[in-house]
Amino acid sequence: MNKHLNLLFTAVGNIIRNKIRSIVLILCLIAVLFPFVTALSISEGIKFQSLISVEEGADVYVTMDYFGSNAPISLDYLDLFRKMEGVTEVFPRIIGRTYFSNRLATIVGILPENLPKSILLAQGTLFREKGDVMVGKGLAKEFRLQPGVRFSLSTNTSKLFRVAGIFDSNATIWSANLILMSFEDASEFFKMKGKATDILIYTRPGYAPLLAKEVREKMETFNPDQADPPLRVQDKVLVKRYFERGFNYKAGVFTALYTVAFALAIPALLIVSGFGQTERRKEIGVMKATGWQTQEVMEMAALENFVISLTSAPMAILLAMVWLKWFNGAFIAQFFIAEIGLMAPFPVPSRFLPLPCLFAFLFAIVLTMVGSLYSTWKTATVPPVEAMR
Amino acid sequence: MSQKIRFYLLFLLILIGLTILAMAWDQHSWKRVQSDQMVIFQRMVGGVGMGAISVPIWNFINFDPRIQPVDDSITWPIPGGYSYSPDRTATVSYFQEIPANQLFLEK
Repeated sequence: MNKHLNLLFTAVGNIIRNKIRSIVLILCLIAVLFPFVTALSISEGIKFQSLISVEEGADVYVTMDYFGSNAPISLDYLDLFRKMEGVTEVFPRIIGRTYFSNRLATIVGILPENLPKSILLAQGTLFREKGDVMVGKGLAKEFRLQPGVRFSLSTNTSKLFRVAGIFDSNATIWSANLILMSFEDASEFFKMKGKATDILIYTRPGYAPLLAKEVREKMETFNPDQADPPLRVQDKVLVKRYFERGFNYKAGVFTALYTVAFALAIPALLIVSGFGQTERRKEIGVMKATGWQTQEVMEMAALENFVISLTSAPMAILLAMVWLKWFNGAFIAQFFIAEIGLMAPFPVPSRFLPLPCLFAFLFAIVLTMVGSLYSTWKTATVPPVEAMR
Repeated sequence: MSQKIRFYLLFLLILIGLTILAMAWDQHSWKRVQSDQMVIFQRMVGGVGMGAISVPIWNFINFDPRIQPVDDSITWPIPGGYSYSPDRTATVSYFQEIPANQLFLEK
């Protein structure tokens, strides 16, 4: 045990002695690990918010299927769905997009009775009167919107809106450029009276898949003369599959960031295997001449890499954390969350889980080991005189 | 063991301890979010947003595949042609249409 401890102290001594080499190596590793840790933590943060969106959303979403794409559904279906077994609530919803000046905005129309009293607003109140809307923090900040401001949008200039309230920036990233209004206002704005984008069905626990199946099977009963196109039914199970595939299988983070990481890792590898190599060879030669075994030299080099990785990985994690939490991911977050600009108008979601951080450490250790172990072994196996030459 | 080595090892221990503490604090802060505004907001709107994009540029699939599970930009202006929709959110999330069985064979 003492022998290993002594080797560890020698390894630390080497790191301190070769200051420039160690600092450059640590900085290179931080540069490699920082975007990696940042991307993974933002991904986990969005994943968490996305899971809330899935879990707190409806159990079944029903729309029309026009030529294979989602299409508006008639409100006549509301009563049909309400009568089905296991259904607790049925709501229509409108979701559309429009430009607010030059900024793209999401319009959401819901029934006024769905407005919770407990929602916190940054400013103003919930919408109460016809034409009242609640806007996201991003839009409010960009266009200096205040409660009471009236505006119209180019999609339907005859429809006048009044800002009643502004969402709190903590209410998910998707609320930043959102305009929430009553269902009636939204259908007037899009000129789609009697239609909804989708119908939201809430069921008793365990009923959702059965109900989705029933809606699909009973389409003919709802539509006996086959005059309407078919319905598209999405239940929570399918939505969860989107969630899992979107974040787990198809996450492009690995392809994109590994490319960057490996590109940046090249100088680190060069430093480990090339920069200061002459001095390193001499050191190993002296060690061998003074009685060190090859195995001990190798162990010391491995411990040196271990300590370097142990220094770099926590530094990269802390730097990523400081940048994301204190500086709200300024300049960086836009690479991972689209359409937010240099400074995000909401707190950039980031979650630092132990596993990605462990991966960062392992990534650092693999990089340093790959770069140094072979060259150390090669030097340690030649006669000391030759190594010291 | 020299003073410098002792100092470096102490620095390393503090660094690791600080990182673990910061991660634990982060975990704790996310636990509080559960009953926070995000939940109320999502309940109110019936679930909006899933991807790493703040507005539905080009189409809804990356913003929320529930609203539009099909990237219909591949159907226009040249049907079946090049998709004009850039994969803006491919860095940390990416949604693709999930194939559903729409073939019913009748005996």
